[in-house]
Amino acid sequence: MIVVSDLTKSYDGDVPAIKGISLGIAKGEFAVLFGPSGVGKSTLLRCLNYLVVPTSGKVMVDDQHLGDLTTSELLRLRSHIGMIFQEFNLINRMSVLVNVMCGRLHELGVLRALTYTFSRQHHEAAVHALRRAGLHDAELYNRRADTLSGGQKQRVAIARMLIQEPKVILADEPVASLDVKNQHMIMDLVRNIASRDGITVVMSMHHLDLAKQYASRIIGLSDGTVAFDGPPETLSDEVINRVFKIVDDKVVGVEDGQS
Amino acid sequence: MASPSHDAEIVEALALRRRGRLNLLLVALVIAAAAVWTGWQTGFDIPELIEGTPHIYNLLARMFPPDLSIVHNLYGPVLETLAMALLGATLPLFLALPLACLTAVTIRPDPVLGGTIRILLHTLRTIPELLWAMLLVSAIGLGPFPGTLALVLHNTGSMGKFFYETIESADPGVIEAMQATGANRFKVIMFGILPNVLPNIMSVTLLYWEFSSRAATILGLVGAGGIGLTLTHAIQDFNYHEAMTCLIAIVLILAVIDRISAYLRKRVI
Repeated sequence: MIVVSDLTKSYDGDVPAIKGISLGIAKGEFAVLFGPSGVGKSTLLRCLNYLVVPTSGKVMVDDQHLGDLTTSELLRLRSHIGMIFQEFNLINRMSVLVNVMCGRLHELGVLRALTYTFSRQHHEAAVHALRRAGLHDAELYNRRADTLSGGQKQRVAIARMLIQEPKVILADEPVASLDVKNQHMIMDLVRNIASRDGITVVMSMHHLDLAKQYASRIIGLSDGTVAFDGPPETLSDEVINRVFKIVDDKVVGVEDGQS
Repeated sequence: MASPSHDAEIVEALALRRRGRLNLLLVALVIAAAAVWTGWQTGFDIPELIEGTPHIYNLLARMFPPDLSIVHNLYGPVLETLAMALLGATLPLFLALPLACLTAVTIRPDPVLGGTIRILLHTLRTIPELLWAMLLVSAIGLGPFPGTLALVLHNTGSMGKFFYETIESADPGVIEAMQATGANRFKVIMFGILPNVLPNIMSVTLLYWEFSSRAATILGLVGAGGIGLTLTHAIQDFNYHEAMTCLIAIVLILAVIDRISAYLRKRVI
């Protein structure tokens, strides 16, 4: 589903954030990009839908070379790649429904965009997506997004991604701003949706426990390169200490303390 | 307790503090020098002001009582002033917002175009309304139209700067989320930016409505319409009672607009 070859990204001629990474992620895999902050997880993730354009190397999603696409072809491909974020990134001053329908912005006409009008079919799809994301309260649908709790916000963001009918889900630290209860709720939700619809998931994360619990594959990044790649069972403490020299026991311990 | 290294820290802290106070003294001296020079340059003269006090009384005496018989003649100029101010603040909203979207570094489609627009906005706002009005009256003649155009030009430059700064400080996360759905630039602006910056934009527009109202009352001085024209004629005719009526009308208009604007601003934020 996703093939990355010799990918490098450096910002403004600085030290590269990722250096020559090559990876293949199969359809239906739940891959977690693991590592402490600042090792290039976010950059790698954003290269997969060209929100960040790599300095060199190739990215292939669904048999298409992202670098060869025209702008409109890239936008069409993105419309089938869902993305969720640590800070949810909802439009605060708009209703939950409108936020979800934004997942269909790609197909929205100019006149409709100018007047913030969505079709009846969009509304139905949004309600359907919200229900799948676990939000059944119709009163909530017309509330402003900034009145919701963190867990609810991430559910709305998941509904916005679901309405895209994604082939791939990119998730950038989706539970890092949530409490422990909501962390598991959101992780369960993403895993269930992905496994039922056969969606490929690539998720960046610094929680080792959660990564081991949910991932089918862990890709450990260290200093912009792949330092570990394998199923979670093979990621022993010994491997962690050997590979992630930056992550000493104490740092990991503090983060584990939350979960 | 007092080790040598400890003492060295005290010495250093004292030295730093002394340097800080010295800087402060220097700044105060510069400000004082500037005050003296500007007073001298502008002929600011307190004794002259005191000597002139009787003349001020004299002028006030000639102005009182205001000539209320001309009030019905003021309706037209007052309405004209209000219309100039309103259009002078609302039309720039629709000009400045698209320009701001083209020049805000976070979303501009082209850096060269963006830079050019920035220079244009800068030029527009550097020239004061009154100067624009003088130029436009020379170019297209007397009346409220050149006056309104002057407001529109100056305000487009000023509001445009506020707008692109607001857009540049908008949450990049939401912009990214919209881009990730495959939205094009236009839709990213409509959904990822405008809803978030709307309160700021309304607030700035209201503020410029107040500024425009103030400016619209004096544009008449150069023949660009509004109640300022009536005031200018009254003063030129040495008709100080009428001038007083105009002044009262101006103060009343501005007070009312200030209140309305403050009320609306509270509502949009």
